[in-house]
Amino acid sequence: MNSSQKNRLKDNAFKYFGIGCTLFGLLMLAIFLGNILIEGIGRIDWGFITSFPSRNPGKAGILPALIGTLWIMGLTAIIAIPLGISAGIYLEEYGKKNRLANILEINISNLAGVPSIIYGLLGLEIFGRIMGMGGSLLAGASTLSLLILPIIIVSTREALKAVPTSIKEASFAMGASKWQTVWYQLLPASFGGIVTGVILALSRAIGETAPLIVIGALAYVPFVPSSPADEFSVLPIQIFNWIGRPQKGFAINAASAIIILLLVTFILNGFAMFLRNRWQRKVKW
Amino acid sequence: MRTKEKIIEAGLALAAIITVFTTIGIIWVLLSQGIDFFSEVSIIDFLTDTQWTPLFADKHFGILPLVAGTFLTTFIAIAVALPVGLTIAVYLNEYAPRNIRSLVKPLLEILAAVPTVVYGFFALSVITPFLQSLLPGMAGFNALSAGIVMGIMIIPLITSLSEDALYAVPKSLREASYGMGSTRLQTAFKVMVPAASSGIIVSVILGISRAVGETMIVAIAAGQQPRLTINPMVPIETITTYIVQVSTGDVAHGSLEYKTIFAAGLALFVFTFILNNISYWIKKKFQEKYE
Amino acid sequence: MNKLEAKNVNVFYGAIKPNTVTAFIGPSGCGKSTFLRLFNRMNDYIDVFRMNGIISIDGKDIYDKNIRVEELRKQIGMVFQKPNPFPKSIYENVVYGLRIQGIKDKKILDETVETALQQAALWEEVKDKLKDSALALSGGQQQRLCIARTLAVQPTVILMDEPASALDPISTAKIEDLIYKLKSKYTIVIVTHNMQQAGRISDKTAFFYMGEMVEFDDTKIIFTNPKQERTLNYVTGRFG
Repeated sequence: MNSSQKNRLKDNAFKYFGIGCTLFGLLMLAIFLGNILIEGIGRIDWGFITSFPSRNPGKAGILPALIGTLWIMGLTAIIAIPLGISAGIYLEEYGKKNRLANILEINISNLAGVPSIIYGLLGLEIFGRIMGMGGSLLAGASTLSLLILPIIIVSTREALKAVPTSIKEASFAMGASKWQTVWYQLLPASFGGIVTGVILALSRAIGETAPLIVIGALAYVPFVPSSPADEFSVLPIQIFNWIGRPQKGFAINAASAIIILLLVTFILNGFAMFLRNRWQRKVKW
Repeated sequence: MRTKEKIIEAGLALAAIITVFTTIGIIWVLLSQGIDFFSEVSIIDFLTDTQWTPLFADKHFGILPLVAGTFLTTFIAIAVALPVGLTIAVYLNEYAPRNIRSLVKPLLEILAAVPTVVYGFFALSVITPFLQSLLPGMAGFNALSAGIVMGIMIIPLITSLSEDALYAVPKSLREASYGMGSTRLQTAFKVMVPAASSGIIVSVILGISRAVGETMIVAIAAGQQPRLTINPMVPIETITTYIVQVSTGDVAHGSLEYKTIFAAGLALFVFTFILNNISYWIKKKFQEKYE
Repeated sequence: MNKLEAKNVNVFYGAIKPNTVTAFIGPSGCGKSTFLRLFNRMNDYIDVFRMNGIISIDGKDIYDKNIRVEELRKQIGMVFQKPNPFPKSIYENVVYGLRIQGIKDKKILDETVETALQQAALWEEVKDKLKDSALALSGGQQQRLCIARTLAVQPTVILMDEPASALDPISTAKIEDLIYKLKSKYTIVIVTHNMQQAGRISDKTAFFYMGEMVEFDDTKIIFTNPKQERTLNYVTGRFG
């Protein structure tokens, strides 16, 4: 065999190795989803969704956790979206030149890499103890808001950056002020990208478990939270709790709750992907 | 009108500055509680004692077993994620037809969107029984299973960042390599990967940082027994798991046990902070090179 | 009285009279666009931008601290090299300048749209589809829309940065016609790399080379009998 043939052989071998690795990833995803579906789908019924947790796995349900998750999602959105988009606009359009902007940028890149459990420690002390919120929904949502702020900021900046300079210049040349340019031109033009980032960030918040455990979210909640000051549980914590039980029945419950959690996550992610594709196609400058 | 502009700018700036307060808050919380902790426990014991038993009667406060557990699972995760993730990136960028690329990328994104508690369930209910059937004597909680699943979780991160880096390499380089008669494999590993090396290194460092800070997978599948070992078959405990363990139990605020989670958090923060800054620094340098 | 004046801006000492067309010519990269952007302070957004010297309109220094740059730009409109309509309807493009001034009266807006589009010779082509996206127009139409958008805020000066360079010859001819008509009401400064264009439409011409203004005079003189040898070489096509 000459060297050219050998090279070609190696080349093909790697191709199949590459296909193999890709398939490995996808296969894992398939086994993973398949296993959860097989284990959990049978347990999902109206009673499972509308019941409270119980010592009897057959009677236990996810109602308080599901409502807790919806509360957390809503409150986090209310806190994080305006803050994140405002900060993104500031960093991209206003504070470009100064030292402060430079510090802010390094800082945000760092925050994005801080493990989520550390945010839990922050929330436990600052929101829970010093601000006196305890293990309430508000403390949880505030903690998660800080956690997803870097994601919203970065995606807002990316979306703003994608608006062509010519649009900005045209607006300025018409005598528009900075804010008018942002409000009338940049935000509408980057809307799709910003919304995509926000949805992805929220879907991240829904799946977060560790920081909420640390701030003191409860594993057993026999009531439906009705105000931001109430204590709460969320789906991931309920799942974590059930995984930790020795009885087989709770493992099935965990799988069923995972199906619900994944459904919410995938719907959000799918929606974000859909928006992103539509937006990319629409915008041809 | 001019005042309105000023007010708006100030409002936006305030939102941006919250991120700085977040960092200050994190450091302050960790340090203030950490300093409290170190006034009761010597920092030398903390760094050198080989036992971590704050919740037992015979208390030892050596962080090493937790650090060892953290690095063991991280090592296993990267050993899975780096070869697989990088291979997928090279395959997608150099070999795969367009339609495969556009099919695989969203699927990998799904893998990245799955909450980690779900990965933990997967590790405990699928991977561990599978490994136990291959390796008799493996414990129900172990670093190997958690590490492998963590690796699977990190694959999309390494793939997408490495792929971006490969994609950013000027096309002319690849064409030059083909022009000299190289195969795709030679082009990929002799030209493209070296040219994209800083981006790939960044992806690996971020992957490590992600694994070090990952909590739920290890809390569910790796056990809660601090142990100074490199044996991947037995239960261990990571820094993050310890924090979860204390948080789910009943520990009085202000007690020494309570403060241990901040000391552990401080150690975790230092590790990830260093890793993140290295990656930021490499990324900045890399950007300059191409600008 | 001079409409625009520039002193000490590198070496430019010149004055631009009202209701004239002044052309800036020169090879690419010679600084003519940058120079044009001094007049409406579009260079303010360049981080390293520094300016010495004085530029004034109606005798007032435009770089004075008390000048509101937004007001200045309402008075001095600008048309860019590449048509850059906003990704909105034709109607919204034209009224943008009014909207940001807080004008909401539908009657005023409607009237402005019609007048501005007529002035820009675009009305007949778009009057039935004012709500359509501006991005659906052809390049030449887009550029005339950008001119209409500028006219809508009733500036006194219009700066044009190679407004026809991205267009086909027919569209270019329309833009040139338009410039000629607009001259009666506005003071126009146009940057062009096309010497024939400068010759066709301008009254005065400034020749820029390597970041310097070499010569500024009546267009006829610049093209037939310039004082500087470099200008002569350029206009006769010996370099550039």
